[in-house]
Amino acid sequence: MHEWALANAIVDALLAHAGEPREVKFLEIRLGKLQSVAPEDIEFWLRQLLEERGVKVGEVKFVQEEVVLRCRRCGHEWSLDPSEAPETVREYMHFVPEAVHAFYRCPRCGSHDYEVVRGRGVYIGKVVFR
Amino acid sequence: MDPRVHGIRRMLSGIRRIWVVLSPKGGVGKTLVSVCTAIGLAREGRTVGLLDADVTNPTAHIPLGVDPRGVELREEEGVVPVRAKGVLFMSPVFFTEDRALPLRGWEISSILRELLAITNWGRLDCLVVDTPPGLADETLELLLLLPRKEAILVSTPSPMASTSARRMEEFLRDEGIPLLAHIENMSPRGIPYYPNLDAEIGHIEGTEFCRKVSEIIRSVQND
Ligand SMILES: Nc1ncnc2c1ncn2[C@@H]1O[C@H](COP(=O)(O)OP(=O)(O)OP(=O)(O)O)[C@@H](O)[C@H]1O
Ligand SMILES: [Mg+2]
Ligand SMILES: [Zn+2]
Repeated sequence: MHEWALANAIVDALLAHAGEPREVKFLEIRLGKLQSVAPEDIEFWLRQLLEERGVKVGEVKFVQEEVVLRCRRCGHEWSLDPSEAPETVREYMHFVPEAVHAFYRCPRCGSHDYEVVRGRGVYIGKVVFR
Repeated sequence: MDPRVHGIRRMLSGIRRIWVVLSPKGGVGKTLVSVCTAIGLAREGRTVGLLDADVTNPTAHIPLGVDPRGVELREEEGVVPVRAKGVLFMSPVFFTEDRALPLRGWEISSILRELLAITNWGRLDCLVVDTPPGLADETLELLLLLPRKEAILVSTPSPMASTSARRMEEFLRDEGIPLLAHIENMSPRGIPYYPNLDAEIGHIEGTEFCRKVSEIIRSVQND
């Protein structure tokens, strides 16, 4: 599973940031919907990988972020729901969210030149160590 | 905090050497040099990877003979690269159905970070990285992210190309990046011009061009 790699990156980042924490009391992970990552998969690996490294894990909270795209040509803002995309396209964006630019255009002017303002992928929102 | 920067270190930790193929000018032969460098190492029995980091215009799959539409990526502690001509290969073309992928600034850094953070290369003697021309987002981001990197500079004998190559050499020196080789392509002083090369792209591994690239790399790799 490639969620293993995503979770491991979060674990490495947390531990690098905090030195040698004994416990992650609270962790908030933001999941941009463009990447269609299942929170249960990330949580499973986060708990397993942190415990393997001797770190206790308290509450893990996931916040799903809607996708917001803004056209650079005409300024139009819109959203898109990957669960309505063809399965192959959803899978490409699951691995590499930037692939969105190959498959979607601005609904107002037709341009591929737009910005992913929000909802791209996985990142750490908040963390409380002990 | 971008966790991918940490993930990348882990995913690259099994790689002994990383060779970034660069040139200030376009169309000088970086992609063919990258592919032939990788094929040459694989033939010597090395475990070698090739990353196409020309994210908006990937072409390394063509000389490697990989049809991007036929590729089904396998997931195992990340995404497993595809094997072609003895080389482990990863390219952004696997995620676009070979369509145009227009990206700017931060998105270019971001897609490179994602590819490096999810690709499971395993243990490699060497990772070869093909880049787009110039000293802009892709190249700077790669030089920032890649550990243990050495540069292979490709140029041609024109006065413009050699001026740009000199600037690139100075830049690499200032950044502290070792120059493994400066290959002059389409030149009597380096790799000659082969008029029929384009007709042989599909079996590049059998060409005099490829043999010449491998020979140059073998003479400088000190390994
Ligand atoms: N030694 C050579 N003899 C003849 N043709 C060559 C030689 N080297 C490269 N070419 C031709 O030049 C063209 C460009 O090669 P290649 O795509 O490898 O360059 P590049 O530097 O990667 O280009 P870009 O900057 O667009 O990525 C190809 O069509 C190739 O066949
Ligand atoms: Mg190229
Ligand atoms: Zn628009």
